[in-house]
Amino acid sequence: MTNPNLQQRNARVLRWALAATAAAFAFGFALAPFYDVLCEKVFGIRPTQTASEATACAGGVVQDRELLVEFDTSISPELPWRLDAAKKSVKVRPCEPATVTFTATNDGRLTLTGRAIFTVAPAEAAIHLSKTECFCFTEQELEAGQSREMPVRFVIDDQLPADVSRLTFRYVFNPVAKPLAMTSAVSPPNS
Amino acid sequence: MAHDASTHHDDHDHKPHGFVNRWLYATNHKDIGTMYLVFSLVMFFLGGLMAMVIRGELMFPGLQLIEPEFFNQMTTMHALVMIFGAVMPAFVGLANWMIPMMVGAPDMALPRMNNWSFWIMPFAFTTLLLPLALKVFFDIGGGGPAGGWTLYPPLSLQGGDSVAFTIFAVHMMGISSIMGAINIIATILNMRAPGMDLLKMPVFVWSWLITAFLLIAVMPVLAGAVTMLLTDKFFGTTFFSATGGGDPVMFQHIFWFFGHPEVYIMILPAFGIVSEIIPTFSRKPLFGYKAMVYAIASIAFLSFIVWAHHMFTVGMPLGGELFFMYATMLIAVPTGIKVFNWVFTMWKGSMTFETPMLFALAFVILFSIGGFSGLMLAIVPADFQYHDTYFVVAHFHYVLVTGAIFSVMAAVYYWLPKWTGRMYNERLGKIHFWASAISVNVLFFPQHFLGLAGMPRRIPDYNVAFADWNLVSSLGGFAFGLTQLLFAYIVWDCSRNKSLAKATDQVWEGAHGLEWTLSSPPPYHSFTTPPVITDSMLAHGNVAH
Ligand code: HEM
Ligand SMILES: [Cu+2]
Repeated sequence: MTNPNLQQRNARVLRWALAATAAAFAFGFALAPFYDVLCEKVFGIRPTQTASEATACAGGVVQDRELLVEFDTSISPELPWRLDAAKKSVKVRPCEPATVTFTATNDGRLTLTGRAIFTVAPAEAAIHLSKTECFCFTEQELEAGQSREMPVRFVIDDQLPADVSRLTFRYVFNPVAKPLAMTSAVSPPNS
Repeated sequence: MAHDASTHHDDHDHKPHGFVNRWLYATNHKDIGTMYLVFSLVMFFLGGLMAMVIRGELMFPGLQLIEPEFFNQMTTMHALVMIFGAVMPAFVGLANWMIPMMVGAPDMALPRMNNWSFWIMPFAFTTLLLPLALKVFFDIGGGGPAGGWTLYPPLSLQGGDSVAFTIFAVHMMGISSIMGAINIIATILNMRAPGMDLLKMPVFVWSWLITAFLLIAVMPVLAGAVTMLLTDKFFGTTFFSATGGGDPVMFQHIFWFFGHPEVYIMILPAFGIVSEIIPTFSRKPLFGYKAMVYAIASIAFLSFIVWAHHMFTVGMPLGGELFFMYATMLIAVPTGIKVFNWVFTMWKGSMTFETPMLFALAFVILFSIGGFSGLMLAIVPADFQYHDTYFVVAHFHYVLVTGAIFSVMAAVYYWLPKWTGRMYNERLGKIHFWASAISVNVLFFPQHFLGLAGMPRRIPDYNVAFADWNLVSSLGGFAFGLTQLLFAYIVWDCSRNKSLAKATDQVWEGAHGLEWTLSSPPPYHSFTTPPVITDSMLAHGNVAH
């Protein structure tokens, strides 16, 4: 049975299968860049979105439509901070600018830098939202015990799909620049 | 290839001497198959122990036995141990034992790689279990991973350093599975005896051929996903961290691109097993052999385009939700074909109900229940309610315990007399079956009610409204766990007890296929020269067209 022909054929399967394995491994990584492209081109959502320019709104504030905008905040466990919105929600009309104040407080013992990540639900609202001022545009450095009031100014355009009447803005503060494991300001929950 | 098993072919049954030579340097497919099966049984009990801890804590509302953090480690480790340690190695063990004997080959195509595939496993699981063991036995470190077997970031990265152990363990298991899969493909493509055409192969062999392709396609994707987790945690990349422009939802997409085919990796070989057993005990050939093969192939194909049904609630666009909903429901079609063909195989057959057949029948019925709850979960608006509740837990335990695990038990009872040359204790086998079949339903059926009533999964404490069914479920769980000790005893008894009845070569009156033409137990090296296949030796098709 140590048939050279058989050994050759087995080696061929082996080579071919290893190449397929390598291709599948590469494919896994390729999904990362593809992901953003697919989201934007196929579904028109930008996963890492920031505000778009509100090109619409030529007709001024839309009086007969009211939108409820709710605020949701949270802080990554690595950051001993608090983030509070002055109001839990506001009612706005399309094309009407609104301002809401957020307060961030550093309850820890060290000066730390954080950056807030913003998302809006439902996702299709993202391209109709424009923000002129937001603490999420820049990094925020807070000393121990310091707190800072930060206004967010936004406007939602009149092209927002008709079935969307309620939007949720979500802000999550994350520590900046350091990989999660190396942020030792507070120890991770289970170590 | 000095140690290639096939070079020994002129001194039959010459086993290597000594423990190290026989087992550590094993290249014989039967020995490696045995090691895989024993390993799987050990992991089954270890994972079972964790399940007992989980059910113990959930027996009553409130916290009584363990800390929530440890509870989370138990659910995470239970899943990882059962999926990668119990179910997958059991199927690979069965493949090792049976595929060469079923296609008339002397051994696996690449025996030395086969040795590697197995021996990586104990190292992988030592790595996986080490953080937990250090915590439990020596109170060192923070314990095992606790963020769920799906390892979703950011949660999975916020735990201790155990995540590094988990990731390396997953890498090792992946390498082992891929090497096993390559070996199986090479064996099936190159080592079949003359006359064993592809479309005459037993369905178990077919199911494994397709499973092996799935493994090669998706295990590397999982390896990629966990590698990205690793660099996110320790090297400052931000694949899944929004701070650097990454997206945690992307992990879920990549994970489930692996994850859904993975659940089929755990069920296709089960389909194969049941397709061997039901014809034998119905004394009729399998109904619709080709349809069965094509159904397996189409399930495997569809499994690549349904992954997002695990993440309907992440906020996908409506078009995406609809696509994944319909694609998921489409899988019910080939699955239905299989179930109907098993039923038609039994139709007007002269059926008998030995233990393997009982497990196979229970598989058909209970797996179908799991398929139905899967269909309910596939309906997007319904899934918004059911997602992350005990309903999902009930669903995947019906398909995995009464599906995959029951099929493995059916297979062990079916082929054990062939492996050992003795009939196992049939009376004990029947007791094991009935005790398992009843207790498993007491364990998992109430979890449907709990889920529909809104009980979330992965929590150590719950609203008192859920107390009654949790108590019932826990009692069923303890009964099921205890019953499995009987299984271990029956297997041990059959392999050791010389007073048991001798098995004939054919073992079961209605059994067909090459493995039944060998003696029981089969010679250490079987089919060293390819068998001359005659019609009666084939379960499907004739030699001459
Ligand atoms: C008719 C076929 C099936 C359908 C339609 C189906 C559908 C689904 C859906 C929609 C979910 C997601 C539920 C949620 O998280 O909200 C799910 C979860 C799951 N299914 Fe299935 N399924 C099927 C068969 C199977 C099979 C054969 C297996 C394994 C052998 C399986 C294993 C699982 C597992 C393990 C999960 C949970 C994963 C987790 O979140 O931890 N399913 N199934
Ligand atoms: Cu799935």
